[in-house]
Amino acid sequence: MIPLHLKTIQGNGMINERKAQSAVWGLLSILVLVVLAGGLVDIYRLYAARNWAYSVAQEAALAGASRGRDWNAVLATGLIQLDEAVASSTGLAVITSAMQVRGISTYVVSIRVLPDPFGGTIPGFPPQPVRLGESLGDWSSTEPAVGVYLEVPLQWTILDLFGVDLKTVRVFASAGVAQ
Amino acid sequence: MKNDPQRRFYLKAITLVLAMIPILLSTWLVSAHQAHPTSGNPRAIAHNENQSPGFGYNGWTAPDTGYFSIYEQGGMDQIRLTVTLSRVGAGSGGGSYQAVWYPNASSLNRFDTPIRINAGEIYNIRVYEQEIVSGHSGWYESEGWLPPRLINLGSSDIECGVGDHPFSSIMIAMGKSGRFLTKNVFGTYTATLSDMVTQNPAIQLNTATSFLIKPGSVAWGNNSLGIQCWGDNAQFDGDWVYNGIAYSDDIDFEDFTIIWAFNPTSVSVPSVQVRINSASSDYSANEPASYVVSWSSSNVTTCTGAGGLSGQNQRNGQITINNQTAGTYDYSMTCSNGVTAVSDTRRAVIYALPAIDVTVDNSDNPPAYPVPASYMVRWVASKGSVNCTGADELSGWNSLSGSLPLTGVTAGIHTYSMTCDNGHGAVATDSVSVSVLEPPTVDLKVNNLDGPLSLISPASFTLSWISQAATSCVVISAEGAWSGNKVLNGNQLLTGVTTGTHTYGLTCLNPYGSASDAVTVVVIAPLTGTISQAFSSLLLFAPNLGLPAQSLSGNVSGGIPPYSIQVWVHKPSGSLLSFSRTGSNWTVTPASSGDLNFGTSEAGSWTAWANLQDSAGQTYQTASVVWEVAWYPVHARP
Repeated sequence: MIPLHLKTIQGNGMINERKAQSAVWGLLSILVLVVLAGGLVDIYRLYAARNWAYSVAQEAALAGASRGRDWNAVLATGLIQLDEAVASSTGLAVITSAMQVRGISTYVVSIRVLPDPFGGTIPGFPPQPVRLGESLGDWSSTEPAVGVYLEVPLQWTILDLFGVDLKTVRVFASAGVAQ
Repeated sequence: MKNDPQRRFYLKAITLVLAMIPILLSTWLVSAHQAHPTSGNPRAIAHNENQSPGFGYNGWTAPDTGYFSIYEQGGMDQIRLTVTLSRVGAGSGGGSYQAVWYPNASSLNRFDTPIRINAGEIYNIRVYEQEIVSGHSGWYESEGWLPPRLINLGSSDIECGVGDHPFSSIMIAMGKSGRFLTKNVFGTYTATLSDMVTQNPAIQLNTATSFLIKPGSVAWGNNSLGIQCWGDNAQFDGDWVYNGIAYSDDIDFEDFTIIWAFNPTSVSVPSVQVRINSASSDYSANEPASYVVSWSSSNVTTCTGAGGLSGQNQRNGQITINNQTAGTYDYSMTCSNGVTAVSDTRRAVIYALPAIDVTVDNSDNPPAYPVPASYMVRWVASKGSVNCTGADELSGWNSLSGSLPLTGVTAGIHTYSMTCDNGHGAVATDSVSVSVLEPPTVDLKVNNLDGPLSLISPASFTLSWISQAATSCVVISAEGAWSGNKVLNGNQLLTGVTTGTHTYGLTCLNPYGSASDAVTVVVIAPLTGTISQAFSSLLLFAPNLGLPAQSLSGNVSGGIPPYSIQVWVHKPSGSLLSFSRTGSNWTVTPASSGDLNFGTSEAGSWTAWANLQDSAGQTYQTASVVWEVAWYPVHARP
């Protein structure tokens, strides 16, 4: 969960009234502004969380594709392919590491590898629609590739007061190896 | 003085000396007398150690034309005569005649010859005789004659051996008794004249003496008188030596008297003539001879053949002789009219053919000899060979036989020839050839080289060989078409010979050795080779990732080692790397190339090949190998 920190605004009489009115209005305005600000913050946080999650997924995909290149296959067949286990574990390690740094302990990650030299298709992957990343449903590639699907929970600051029920960021990133 | 003993002594001595002269003279004259009995063919009168002088008279001029006749008195059973009248000067008369005369069967004691004499022609007369005296069986040669001594022609006394006759002196000189015989031949003389008159009416008695063979200038008693007193008998002892053998006989002039005269008229002279191949002459030929002997007679009643005509008794006939061998053959035919026997003989001399035999070590077909050869050449002429002439390597030799030892004879064919003839046109030749051989040699080559020769498979090459002094050649180490017997010099093309080491051998032989030669042909596979890379795909700078760099390897086969290999590596950038290698198997590794990133230092297509060369200069470029070097970058997918 991402914590949101709110700031308190204080005023005097007619002046305070006015001031109060003004303060009310002001307060209201402030409230509105706070809400707006909170909403903006939440939006920002959503956007930032998505980007972060995507970058983590992208990094994991790149790391998995990079580390997962099966050189022996190149020597043996002249075609690059991926070591599925190495690619998956490498990607997962990147995810795990990033999550630990953010203190996120609950997340969903799915790393799928298309190890064949000419890729392939994994039906139903990514399992959920995502905003970032390609392939919504049947992920395919024409080259060896690593696909990382990541779900990260998100705690609103304001928007949850307004019934915006968005608590998870879903991203998908993939990386391939050029033949 | 007349009775002085000394005078008598001198007279005796003078008498003895005078007596010795005629003795010596007569000894010389009668030395030819041969009392040795003769026998055989009457064809020729046998005159042995010294020829009987016979009757001889030269320069007699025939007074008329007629035939030569002989009158005889003296009890002869047979007289065989050889009468020759050699004409002096031009004319047609004369001739020679032989016959056997049987005087006792002739009432006239006259023997007519067919020898023609013509009036005015001059003749030299020669007569030889042998006789068989009545009561004796052998032939006695008429040893000579002495002229009768005319005692008194008018008193009918013509005596032989009367008075101081030289014969008496001869006998006395020989220590014998004097022989003063008194044979009056006047009766014979007058009978002769009467016969001449009777038989020839043209002759008158007073002219008859002119027909005697006595020149008118010759007086009776002259040695040239035609009346001859002949002596021949062995009734009396005498000392005559023939061939160193003393014969006990002497001469007796009382036996008979012959008067030489001629018959001026034609006479029916018995005659017989023997011919060979129609020729009235002796015959000669080389064996085997074939000829025809014929005889013909006239004025005869019987004929008897002798010699080669034995058994023949026809008066005319012929026989054919075929394939007669060498020898002397007489063909005689004696014919008689009952009084006179005539005979004719032809002689055939058949010459033996020459023969010559040349041998080498007593062989007509000597074996071949090895060099240096030693052998003996012999030649022997036989049979009728008279002259021999060497030829070839017997040139200069002309003896009828001989031997020629030879040593150190060099190689070659040596011929020894000898030709002999019999002097009568027949020739015989013999020749022997000797082969003197050296041990054979043979030189076998392949493509005119002694080899060994290396050729590329499938190989074609020519085997050629030359032998010397060989009699046969046979293949040793037969291989493929190279097998069996071979000609002494030749060549053979072999094609399609596969890889391997092939040895072709040939042995040539003659009876005295053998020689072999062989050539080796190494047929090799064509130069070829391979190249291969360890990886067809590599990572750029793979060693940095702990991955291997490229390694190239290859091998070379065929050709002739050692090989030299030049490995070329074409980088993607276009530059070339070159590596030299040797051996049948080669490698280019990162370590041996000096580049740990060999073959991975540039991304892209690398190409490598090897140029091969063998020691014979044969080259070969391998196929190229290609490997790809890539990095395989990772990229984020959208």
